[in-house]
Amino acid sequence: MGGIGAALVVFLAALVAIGVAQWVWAVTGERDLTVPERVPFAGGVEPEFHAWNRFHIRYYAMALLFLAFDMEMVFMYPWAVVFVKEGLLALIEMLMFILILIVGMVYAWREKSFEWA
Amino acid sequence: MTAFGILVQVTALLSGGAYVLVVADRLMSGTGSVRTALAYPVRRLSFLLLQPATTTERPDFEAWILGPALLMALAAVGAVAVPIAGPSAGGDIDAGLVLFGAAMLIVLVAVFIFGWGPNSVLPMIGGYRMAAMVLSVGIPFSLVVLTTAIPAESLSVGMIVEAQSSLWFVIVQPLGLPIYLVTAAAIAFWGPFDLPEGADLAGGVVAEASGLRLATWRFARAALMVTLSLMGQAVFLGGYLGPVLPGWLWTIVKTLVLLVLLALAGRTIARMRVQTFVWFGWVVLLPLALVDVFVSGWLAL
Amino acid sequence: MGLRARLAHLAKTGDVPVFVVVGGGYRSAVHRLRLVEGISIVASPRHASVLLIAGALTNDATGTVSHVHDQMAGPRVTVAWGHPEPSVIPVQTTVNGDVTEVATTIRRLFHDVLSGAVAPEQPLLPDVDAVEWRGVGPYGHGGAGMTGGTPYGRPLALRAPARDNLELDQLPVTVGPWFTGFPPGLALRISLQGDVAQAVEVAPTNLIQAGPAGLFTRALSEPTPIRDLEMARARHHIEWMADTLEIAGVDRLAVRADRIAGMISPGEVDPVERLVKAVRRSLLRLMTLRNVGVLPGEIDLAGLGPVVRATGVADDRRREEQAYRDLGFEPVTHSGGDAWARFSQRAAEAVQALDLAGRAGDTRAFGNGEVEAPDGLHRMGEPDPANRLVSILETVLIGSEWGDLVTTIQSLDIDMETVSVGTPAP
Repeated sequence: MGGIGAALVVFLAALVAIGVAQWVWAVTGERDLTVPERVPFAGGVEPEFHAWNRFHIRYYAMALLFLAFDMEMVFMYPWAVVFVKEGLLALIEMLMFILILIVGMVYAWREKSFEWA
Repeated sequence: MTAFGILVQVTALLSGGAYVLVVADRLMSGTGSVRTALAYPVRRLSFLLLQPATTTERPDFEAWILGPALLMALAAVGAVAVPIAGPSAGGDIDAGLVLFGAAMLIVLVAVFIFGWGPNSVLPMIGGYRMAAMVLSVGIPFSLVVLTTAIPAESLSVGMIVEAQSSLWFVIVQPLGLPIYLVTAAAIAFWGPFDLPEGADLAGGVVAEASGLRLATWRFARAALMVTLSLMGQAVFLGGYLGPVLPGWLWTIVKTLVLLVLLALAGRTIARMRVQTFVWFGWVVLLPLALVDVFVSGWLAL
Repeated sequence: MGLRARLAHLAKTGDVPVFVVVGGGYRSAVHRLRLVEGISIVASPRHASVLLIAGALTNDATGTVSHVHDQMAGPRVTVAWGHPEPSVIPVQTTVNGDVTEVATTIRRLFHDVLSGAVAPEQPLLPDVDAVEWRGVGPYGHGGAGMTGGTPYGRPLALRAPARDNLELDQLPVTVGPWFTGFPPGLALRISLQGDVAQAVEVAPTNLIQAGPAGLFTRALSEPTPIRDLEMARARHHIEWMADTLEIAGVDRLAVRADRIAGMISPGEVDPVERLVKAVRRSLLRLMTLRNVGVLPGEIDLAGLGPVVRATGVADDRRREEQAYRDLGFEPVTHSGGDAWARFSQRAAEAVQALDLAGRAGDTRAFGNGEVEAPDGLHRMGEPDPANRLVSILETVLIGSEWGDLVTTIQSLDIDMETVSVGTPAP
């Protein structure tokens, strides 16, 4: 088993340990709670509605911008490894790519996508 | 090193680091002596273990439990990628940087479902704030970490540490560490960027959490801070490299330096507004991170 | 010794998590309680073990305080501090002494409830479902409509047009009166679309019973030493700064402000000036307050004290007092009218007040039916400025992101003691 196998073991061990501990705590402790004890806290008044709703994420334009840059990150991981070997060409290629994306960022900034209230 | 050995090592590192962080944070919060601060983590944990369970009237039971578990798992898996004592010790992974980067961005999911779980309005707003934050700093964070891979010509953290044998990257890439620390604090929703847990939301994502649920969440977040400091020292401060002392001790010393630095900032700088933060991430941090990538790339040629 | 007893033994020497319901005349006292080592004042009852009812409340408060009591994770105990009998909810002990006495009592009860000497309190409200379960599946899905049915009896959010002409969910929530981000006693019904307030309505409340008449109220009818008035003003502003710093997450400076508020003396402006410098270094302006809560020009702010002076208008009743004029008093003003201007304004007024107190000697002022109090102009027989501040909230807060909304309310310094809005909720 290589390093990735060990990482998987650690990941699952942490997930299961913390998850099971909480699960046991919750199912054994929650049984006896009364209705008022379960009311969500908002300062002492009962809520009229469920909190879950179709939440208006006003930064959606920014989230789309993130997608564009995140795709670019996918290319950058292999790019970083071969960068020194490929030399100046790799630098210029990536610079062009980034500059196009940066134009998108500047446009989003101008359109006030980073503020919403 | 076996998988079990790595598990023990990661557990010890994260628990020890979390203890130091909680003590440092307690000292920074204003009241109390060093003596009480040293005993604080143990006393606090004992109390939380004694607290009866609470829940809300219609929670998403599974999501609420998964939140802390996932946060802990991500913190732990991120720590696996960092070699502690030397190039081959500590399960060095070929593409450790990719594993680390992926794990740190998924923290968003852990925080979001933890805020979503209780079906209560204040935690829910906290969860959505975390989304805004991580989407804003995810790119600069990944970029500055990735930049350290350019001179090393490898995504393995061990190789990146070895590449610093003549000069640490904190000097070669001066923009790297400052941007890393700011974005790392945001990803661990710590310090001036603890928006999902802000006092203006009565605790935000933890407003409905008590007892063991709160204890696991706090521990997982402290562990996440340790993982972020651990990676920070490996890629910027030369990791286990150093004179006289053994490598693992250097790792611990450097990790603690970064941890204490973050703890100091946490309670002395005012919390940033979420909109200012989004602006700051895109308009300030992202261009700076790109400058870091290309200037460092140019210098590496 | 079993595991439980061992944990209890460790836990009882640790911090006591206290949720405080602040009633009439006890805001200042709670600031001093915050300085006691080993008492940790928490923002959510889910984190608390002790419920402290400080100061006087009206009988209307019973419902909301009971809710908070039941929401506490426990093991629960309730302490009343300066709260007249009969208290709004049953309590373990009533304390009428100073902060040391209440801290000792809280710690003793915490010990006892953890070690089992005192039984934890049972929930107060009846175990009855207020709303009937009508859903089909485990999450109420499967009925009619998009999300189906009415999960757990509570309806889902309403739809309403957003400011950008999208038809989206709007969630009305009532926050307060014991939400720590708001002044104690203030409850707002906020229609949230995402994290932005689309509409704000002040919920009818009359929960806090005013404490004994303060110095500024007495100064309405009798000339009062300037030294006392200005010391009280300085303390008020410094404690307000502590609250602001607390909400902004700068706990260290909040504690420092509380400490300074407890030991100021006439003429000693140094500690406050150093505090203000530290606040500047904490980047409070850049990070949190700048351009937040700017008051629209059409609102009449006359007589609102630091709030109006932070818009650049030198509106101050003290100018018309001969005694103040003899001291060379000139009102401080700041421009901008945002939360930072109000912070700088109050900081500067605290310094000015200490300076005036140091030079005032035994001179007296006011006593003719009008007083410039820390929150603005008080007139005999007229409602306090807090009433007007509450009434402008509904316009000022619309369109604010949640954090800015809390910052704005905090920056206005509203004291609900003398405010009553409509008929109290049942």
